[in-house]
Amino acid sequence: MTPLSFGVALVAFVILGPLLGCFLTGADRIITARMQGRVGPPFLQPYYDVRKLLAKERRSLNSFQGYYLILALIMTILSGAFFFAGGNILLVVFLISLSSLFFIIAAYSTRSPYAEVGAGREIIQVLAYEPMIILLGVFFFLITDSFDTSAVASLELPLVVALPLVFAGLLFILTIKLRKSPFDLSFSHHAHQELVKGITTEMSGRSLAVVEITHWYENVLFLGYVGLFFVWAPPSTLILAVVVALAVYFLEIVIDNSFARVKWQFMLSWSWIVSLLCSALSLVLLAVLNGFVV
Amino acid sequence: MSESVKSPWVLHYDASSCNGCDIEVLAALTPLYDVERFGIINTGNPKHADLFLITGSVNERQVPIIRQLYEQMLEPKIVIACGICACTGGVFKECYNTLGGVDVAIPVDVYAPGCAIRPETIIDAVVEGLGILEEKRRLLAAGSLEPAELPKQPSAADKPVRGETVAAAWQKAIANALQTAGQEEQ
Amino acid sequence: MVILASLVIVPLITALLLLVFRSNRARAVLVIAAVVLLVALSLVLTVRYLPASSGFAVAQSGIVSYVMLGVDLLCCLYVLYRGIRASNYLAIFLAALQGILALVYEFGFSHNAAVSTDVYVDALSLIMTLIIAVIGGAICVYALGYMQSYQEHLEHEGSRLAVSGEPSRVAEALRLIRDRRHVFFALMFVFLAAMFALVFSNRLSWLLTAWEVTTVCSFALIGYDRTEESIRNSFRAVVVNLSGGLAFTLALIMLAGGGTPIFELDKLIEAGVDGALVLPLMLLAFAGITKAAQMPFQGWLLGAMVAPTPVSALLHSSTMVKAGVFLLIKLAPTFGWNVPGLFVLIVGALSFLGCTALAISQSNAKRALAYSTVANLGLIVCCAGVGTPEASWAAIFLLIFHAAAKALLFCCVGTAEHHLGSRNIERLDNIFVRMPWLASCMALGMMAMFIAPFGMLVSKWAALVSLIESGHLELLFVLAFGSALTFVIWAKWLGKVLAIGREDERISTRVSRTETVSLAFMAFLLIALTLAIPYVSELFVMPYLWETGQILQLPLWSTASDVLGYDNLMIVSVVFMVMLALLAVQILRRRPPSNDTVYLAGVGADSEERSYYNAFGELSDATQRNWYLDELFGEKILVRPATILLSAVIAVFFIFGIILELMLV
Repeated sequence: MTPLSFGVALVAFVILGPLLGCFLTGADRIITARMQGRVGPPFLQPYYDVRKLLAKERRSLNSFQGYYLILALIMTILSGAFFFAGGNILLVVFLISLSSLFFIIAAYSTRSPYAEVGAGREIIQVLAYEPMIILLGVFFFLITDSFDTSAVASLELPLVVALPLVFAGLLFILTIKLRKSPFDLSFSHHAHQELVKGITTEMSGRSLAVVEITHWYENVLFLGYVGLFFVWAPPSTLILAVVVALAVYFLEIVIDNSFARVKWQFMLSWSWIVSLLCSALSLVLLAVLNGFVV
Repeated sequence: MSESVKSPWVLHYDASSCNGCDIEVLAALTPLYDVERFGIINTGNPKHADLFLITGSVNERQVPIIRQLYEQMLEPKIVIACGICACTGGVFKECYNTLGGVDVAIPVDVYAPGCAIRPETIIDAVVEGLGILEEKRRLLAAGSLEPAELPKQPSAADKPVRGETVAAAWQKAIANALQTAGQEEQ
Repeated sequence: MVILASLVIVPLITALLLLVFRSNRARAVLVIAAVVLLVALSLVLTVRYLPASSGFAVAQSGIVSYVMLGVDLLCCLYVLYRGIRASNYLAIFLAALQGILALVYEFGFSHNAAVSTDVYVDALSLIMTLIIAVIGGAICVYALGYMQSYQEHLEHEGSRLAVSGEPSRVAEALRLIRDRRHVFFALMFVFLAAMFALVFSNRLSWLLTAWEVTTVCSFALIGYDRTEESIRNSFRAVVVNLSGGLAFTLALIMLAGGGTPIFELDKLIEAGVDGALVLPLMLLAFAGITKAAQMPFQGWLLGAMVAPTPVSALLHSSTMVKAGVFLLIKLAPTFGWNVPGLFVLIVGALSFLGCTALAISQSNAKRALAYSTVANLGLIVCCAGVGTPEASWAAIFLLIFHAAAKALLFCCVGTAEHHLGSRNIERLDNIFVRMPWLASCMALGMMAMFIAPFGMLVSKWAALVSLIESGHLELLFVLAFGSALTFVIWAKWLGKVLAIGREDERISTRVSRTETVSLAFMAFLLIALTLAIPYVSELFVMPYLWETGQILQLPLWSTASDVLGYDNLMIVSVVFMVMLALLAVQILRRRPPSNDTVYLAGVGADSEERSYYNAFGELSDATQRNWYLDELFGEKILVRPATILLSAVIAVFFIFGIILELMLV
């Protein structure tokens, strides 16, 4: 990763990230509505929502919450820029947890009982998904001998061939990260699944707009993770990656609409079991495939 | 139309409704009426909501709750009284514990009658309210939005009673006594 | 050489002076002067010897050896005396055995041995010196203010007891009130002296003495309060550490009695690298593991929490447990894919995982910190066990940054405890408003423990890389899951610390100046160290590895090409520091009062108190307790199985070790 490529990726991600994220969310809401036999909102509804939130009165419980949320946003943008610039994949992971941390602190800072319950659940969500994404970075290193995401460009076969089970593990925890049922414990976009609105209870107006935008960036970044498994040497494979990422997003919408929210115990134990099994079996598989791939 | 009109988020509060109107409010969210077409989402959190949708008549204990929820909503915001009870107190108006419609607690922007209110009426009321919402947003942006004045703190003593029931008379007497006691304490 | 000697002697003289001059003022002057002198000496030493390592022969080594033996025996006698008074037979037995073995070793083997290098200095001992002088010194300065209010608190308690009038109580009260702070500070400085001696000794018998002195100092400091609980816990600590010391002595005797007698640390490492040693290495590793409070010996460190906070800060950051991991890091080149290496590695890895999980279940701030210490030391021990240069790099980094962050955290918790009256994490509520600077320091310390771009995370990352490189893929799971658990400990605690209630309420009592200054200094040190990560690596850690022949296979950290993403991390560092600075400005600024109320289902009464009207129209408080996941990670669930498992692991490995040793013979 050169400073130039980082700069380009940063600017591109800052501009394109929310655009794509907004479109994805808009499509999500229409598709969800159709699955439920409804017409659904306009495609640009997420954009209208955020515009409205930005125009709301400025009010907050304390002067820090908004600041923490901005920090969370900056960290997400940085991580996305590193990811798409071909930077260090583990650093991306750490920045994502930093972003989650600031989001959690923002909720705690209000001392609202509802927000604190949400923040606690968010922590449990991090506990559930973190091992898998760290292990993903490790497997990435085992295959490419580098932590830089740009290393996929020199592969002869896509990562998914060598690491199908790691990909499966990623899909499992992706539901948590995209805040989809059954793992949308800390807050969800659906009405009445919450203790009020979970972690976002005390975030209103501008703050909530920042949360939404952060979530757009996050969605794009994590679909990038999906895409990473399908990129190899020929540049045309980028198109394949995009197609697969969109397909996975559709799959997540189907899952979102097919399951009710589960208890945190279920989420935690299954995330860990899946992470553990997928990675352990992947190690075995790698050992078997060793001659062919590495 | 600006964005605030395209994304009205709803807070639904059930005062002393018989639940008839509540069922209709939920019906409006179902595939048949699908209010999400207009960007309407039921949030359940005053801090996220733009529309305050209240069903049922209001009694004394609900007044501070309704006021607090109203105050926690961010401007621009509007209030819609859903159903005849929320508008005036309806058939419960003369009930011993009923103060009247929503407007005894907070200023109401749109009155939507009906017993029970029909989902079409709710949608109509929301669309009607959006104009007021847009006006308020414009005022807020210009910095000239005055906070709405709350009605005088009502109590059972102020309750307009025609054929006063025995229970209501007692209620009124007790309230008056309490009020005087309170004043003496101060 | 003179500087080396003075680093040991200055604190000893200070300790003596502290015993003589007992007024507060004299003590403050003495402590601050000594700390400044020690820091200056260690800096001079660093400038003088970095990056090369040098060894020295001491002229009158025979006399020094006598002195050292005398000190060792004194230590044993002290424990014997206290053991007899408290009728703790295990301690008596261990202390007596230790004394006898020390005599046997000195006169049977070591005294007339030809030793070419008595003391040495290399980059690792310089790192340790700086940690001991700077962080240990800051803690001593912190203790000045802390012990003042501690004493006041004791006197308050004592006078309450005395007023109650019962004769037995009055005696207890008098005992409580007696000002023994001079002993406290003297012990702190003796501790520092012992640590300096420990990091410079190459002659194993001297190393052993320094080792025993730290044991006994910690014993005396843990029991400082003389309450029943503190005495019980101090014996627990001394029993564990004496058994470690016993293993150490046995190892020395085995080394001295072997085919080619070994009396020096560097020779020992050379022999170890050749694979000629198994059981002695395991015994030394065992000593290190007990001192580093690894599972199943974590109990002593948790019990040590009864001592005044500066003691905990000292034990956890710059001394004691760090002596354990220091020894293991020194021995790291001898570990790897061999029996002692795997032994160390497994104990460390399991301690890391187990204690991280246990830390989640703790609501007592000091206990949570203690478990987190054991966990992080576990990681260091594990890295030492891996034995590759990359792992050593990670281990040393962990050691440095853990010392800096934990010292700050313990001191913050101590001050918070004095001013808020509780060490319960739940009771830290609203500390951000009441003591904003203290809360900020605490938050900084916590962030330094687990997030990018601070050193702990960089070291964990390096540990990850070294595990991949060395082929210990199974441990990657430990690290991945352990990191996720670490996030839980700190995130929920940070949330509590940074919660904001009433914005206008600041606490009235003033924090003493020495406390404030040393807290601010430690916070500054943490930030400076984070920005200086590349220099720490290139100036200290790499030269040590280079000197000891540990050559990195992977470019962990360099500006040219690296695995950790040097430029990526630097960008994050800069961004993060700018944001912290902005946050600090935000804290300094006069804040506008809250213009919103908290959502309490419409029945909120007082938004700032989080109270509401319940169904009876009465006031209730909306309270929310953090998640402790007791049913998953509670002490009741984890401690017993972990103890059994780890004891079994240790037993099995020792059986293996003995068999191997017999085969070697």
